[in-house]
Amino acid sequence: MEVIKSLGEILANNINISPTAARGLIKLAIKDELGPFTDLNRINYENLQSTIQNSLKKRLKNLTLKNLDMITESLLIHLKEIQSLITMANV
Amino acid sequence: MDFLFLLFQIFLIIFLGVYLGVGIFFSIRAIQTKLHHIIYGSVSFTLMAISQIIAFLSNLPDIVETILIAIAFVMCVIFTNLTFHKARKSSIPLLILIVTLINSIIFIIFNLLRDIADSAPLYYATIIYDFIYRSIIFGWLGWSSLKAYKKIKDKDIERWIKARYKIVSAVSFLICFERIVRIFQPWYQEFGDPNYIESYIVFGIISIMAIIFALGFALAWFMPKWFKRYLNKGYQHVEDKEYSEEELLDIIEKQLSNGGNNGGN
Repeated sequence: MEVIKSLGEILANNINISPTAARGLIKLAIKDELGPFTDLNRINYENLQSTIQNSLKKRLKNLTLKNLDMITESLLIHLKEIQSLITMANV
Repeated sequence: MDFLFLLFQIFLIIFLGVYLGVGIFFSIRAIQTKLHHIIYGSVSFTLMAISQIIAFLSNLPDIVETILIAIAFVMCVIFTNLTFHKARKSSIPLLILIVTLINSIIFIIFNLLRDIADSAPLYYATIIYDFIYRSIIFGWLGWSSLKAYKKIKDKDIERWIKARYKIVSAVSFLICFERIVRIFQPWYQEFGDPNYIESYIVFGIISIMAIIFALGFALAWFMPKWFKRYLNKGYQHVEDKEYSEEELLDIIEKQLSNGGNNGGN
C-alpha cells in the first residue's frame, strides 16, 4: 500500500533503519491497533492516525527510542500531507 | 448536418453514461474499501448524470434539474474536502463548502427567476454566475488534486497513481470553462435546437467538451490494466519479504545498534 510505503520512508529516515524494516514495523503496529486480520488495503485516514498515535508509538518505545513525540508528530504531519493517496490509490 | 447532430448527441450520451458509471463505481469501491467518504463522490457524479437525463428526456420543470445539480455540487465539495483536506488546520475547505452552499441557493433562485420571467440580462447574469459557481467547485477539486500531486511527484509511488492526480486535475480545470461557451447561446433559443446555427454550434462545442470530460474521468477512475502497466513501465515494485514479528524486531534492533540514531539522539 502506497501510504504505508511513504510513511515507512519517513520513519526509516527518522530512526535510521531500512525502509523495509520501517514498513514492517508500521504493518505490525496496524495489526496491533486494528486486529491481526486487517486488510491493509482497507484502512482509512483515522485508522492510520490512531495507529501512529497509539500502537506505533508503543512499539517505538519498546525499542527504547527517544523523542517519540517528535517521531510520531512527523509521521502524522506526513500522513496529513499525503492523505489523498488513501483514496487515489484505492478507488 | 444530421450526422453531426447525431454525433453530438452520442457524445452527450457517452458523457452521461460515464458520469453515471463513475457514480456507481464509486459506490461499489466505497463498500469494498470501506472508504465511506467516496460515497459523496458517488452521489455527486450520479446526480450530475441524472439531472442531465431529466433535462433531456423528461418534462419535469427545470428547477428539478437545478436542485439536483446544486446537491451534486455540494457533494463534490465534501468529497474534495474529505479526500484531500481532512484534519487540516486551514479554514479554506470549510469556507469553500459554505460558499458553495450559499452559491447553490443563489443558483436555484436565479433559475427560478428565469422560469418566471426570462430575459437577456437575467440569462447572461445566470450564465456568468454559473461559471463562477462551477469554477469554485471544480477549480477547488482541480487545485486540490494538483497540489496533492506536487507533494507526491518525487516520491516512490506507482506512476499510474500520479497520472490519476494529473488527469483529475486537468479535467476539473477544463470543466470550469464549459459554461463560458453558453454565453454564445442566444438566450431566446432552445439549447441544442438544430434549426438555429448559433444554438447548433454551441451544442456541438459543449458535446465535444463533454466527451473530453467523459474520457478524462473514465481514464482517471476506470483506468484499464494495460494503461496502468504502460504508465508503470520501468517502475520497480517494492516487494517486502515476509518476516515473523521476532525476525523483524531482531533486524530492527540490529540496525539500531549498528549506527541507528536512536530517534535523533
